[in-house]
Amino acid sequence: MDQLLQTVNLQRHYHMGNSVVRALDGVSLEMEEGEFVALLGTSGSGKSTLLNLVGGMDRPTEGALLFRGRNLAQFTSGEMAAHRRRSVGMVFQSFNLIPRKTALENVMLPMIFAEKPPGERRRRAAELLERVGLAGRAAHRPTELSGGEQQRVAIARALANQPELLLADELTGNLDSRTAAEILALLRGLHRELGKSMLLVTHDERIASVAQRRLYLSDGKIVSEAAAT
Amino acid sequence: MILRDAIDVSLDNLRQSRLRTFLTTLGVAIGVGSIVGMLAVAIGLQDNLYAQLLRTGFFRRITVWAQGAGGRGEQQQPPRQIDENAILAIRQIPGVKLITREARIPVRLQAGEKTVNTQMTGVILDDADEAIFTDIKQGRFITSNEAREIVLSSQTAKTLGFIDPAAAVGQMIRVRVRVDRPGAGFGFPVPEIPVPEPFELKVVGVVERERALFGDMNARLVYAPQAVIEEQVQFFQTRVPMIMAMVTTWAPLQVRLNDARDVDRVEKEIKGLGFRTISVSSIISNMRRAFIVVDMLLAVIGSMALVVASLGIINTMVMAVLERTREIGVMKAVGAEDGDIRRIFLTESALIGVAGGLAGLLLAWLLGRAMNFGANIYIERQGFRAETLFHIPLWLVGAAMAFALGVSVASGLYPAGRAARIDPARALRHD
Repeated sequence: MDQLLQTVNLQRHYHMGNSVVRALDGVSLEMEEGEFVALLGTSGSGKSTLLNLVGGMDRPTEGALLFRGRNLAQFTSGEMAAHRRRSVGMVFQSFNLIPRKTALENVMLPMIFAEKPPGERRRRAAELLERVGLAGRAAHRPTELSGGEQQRVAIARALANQPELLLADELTGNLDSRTAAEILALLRGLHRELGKSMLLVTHDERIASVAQRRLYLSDGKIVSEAAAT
Repeated sequence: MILRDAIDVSLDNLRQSRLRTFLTTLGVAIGVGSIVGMLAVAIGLQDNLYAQLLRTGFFRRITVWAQGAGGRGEQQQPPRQIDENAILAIRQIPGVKLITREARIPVRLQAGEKTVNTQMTGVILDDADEAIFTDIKQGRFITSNEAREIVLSSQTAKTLGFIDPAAAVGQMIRVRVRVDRPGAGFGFPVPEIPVPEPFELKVVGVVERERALFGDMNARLVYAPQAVIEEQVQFFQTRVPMIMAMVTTWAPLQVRLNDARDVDRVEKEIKGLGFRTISVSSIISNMRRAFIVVDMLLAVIGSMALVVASLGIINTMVMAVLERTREIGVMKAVGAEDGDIRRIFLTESALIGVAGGLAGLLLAWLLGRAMNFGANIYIERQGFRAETLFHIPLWLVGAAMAFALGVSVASGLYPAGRAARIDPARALRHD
């Protein structure tokens, strides 16, 4: 299989007053195309920081972050935006839907920035909503949807521009356990059917169990690794 | 991101805070309205004044003399005579409508037993000329270039026995051209000169003074249509051209133009041909210069309101950026570029500018209509003709819209830049 992602001694430092916080302190990892990887760690372990770097939302302080062999650390701001738009799709714990837009419009949003023609946007957004099981909820606004439904909209949005890698940050953190299980089942299904690569950040061992491989982060470093049981 | 989407997103954003958008737009509308209103009043009044002056015909006329004829001309080139060639050359200049050259001949007038010797001046009527003869004391001025009519000066009328000038109007006057035979009466054999038959003209009016503008001040001058005089000139020209050349005085050339705005250019060209000229164009250009200064001053005063409106836009947009930080983060996370975000916010302020500009024009127009209406009630009550005092020319509409758009886009630059620089990771950090 082809290599999708590789990090070499990846560092991300924050300045807090006079002290320097090493959120990531030399992370080196590799990820194959089509892999489903979980990043595990406690709060403050640096797992969300890593996800933001992979997602092109932030830049490393040091080290290399290769996506398909290209180093994100050297991207221009335009290339970073293109990376967010085309290569990755992100799902957040707090959904981050635009409240006044309908489910359909939220899913269409990334395609606006990809300059897809309006007809195609609408058609693809409807298809995606159907795929995540929200065919009848397209015209609803986020406030009219349950947490699980909102997260499904967010997943549909993340898939809008057919990214190579789906990134999920504590995507079940705001959901009850039954709904969380449904969302995870959806992810597993997407992985199986579409063969999409996935990088999932969580602090919950049970959620991480859907992944093929688990990486444990602590204090900004990978401390251990486990394959699926 | 394509423009249509930027406009859609911006409109959607503006709809989110209707009241704020409305108030900001109203600010722009008042700003634009005050500029347009001020200028429209100024332009309307100036146009009126200008048109009234132009109606007199003064401003479409250039008087041309031979170089050096008045003595004080600079003579770096040989003086050029006003002849047929000169007239042809001037006629070639674009903008020239008509060239006239009034002649003056010595005549003896007779009414009943009384006679008077005077000079009769030819008049060529132009549509706008009558205004020059504002001092008609009795009757009216000559009505057409073909009329067999004469206008007397009050001095002449008195000499002819009309103590009351009003009594002269309507009377027939006998006119005979005077030709003094040089040498006659000294015993030399001077040949008889054929003299045209005397003819009659009807007095239609009496002027108080001679038309003083470009002619001489002979109080005894009388006026008849140029055609009447040319008949006499022709009589001599076919028989004894020498004599008529001696007795006829040609007035300076009067060059009339289609448009008063051409006066400067045409006058310069005629000067270039080697003639001396006089026109009232300097008055016009001074007037125009004064108008421009006044207009600019008013525009600056009017702009103050737009400056305030611009601060309103900046405030509104900065608020919007703060409120929508998270949303901007979301848009960036799904692939919006800095430029896309900037475009969205610039489009929003541009839309405010366009809407404010249109509303401002409407406001100014309504205000102008009301002012026109009110002013004309007063003017008509004073016994004058109603006028359009308020005029919004098309260029002002265009300029106002461009100005409104420019100011609002400029006001949006800082907030849009701030929005574009928002760090998506920070904007979406959940607490």
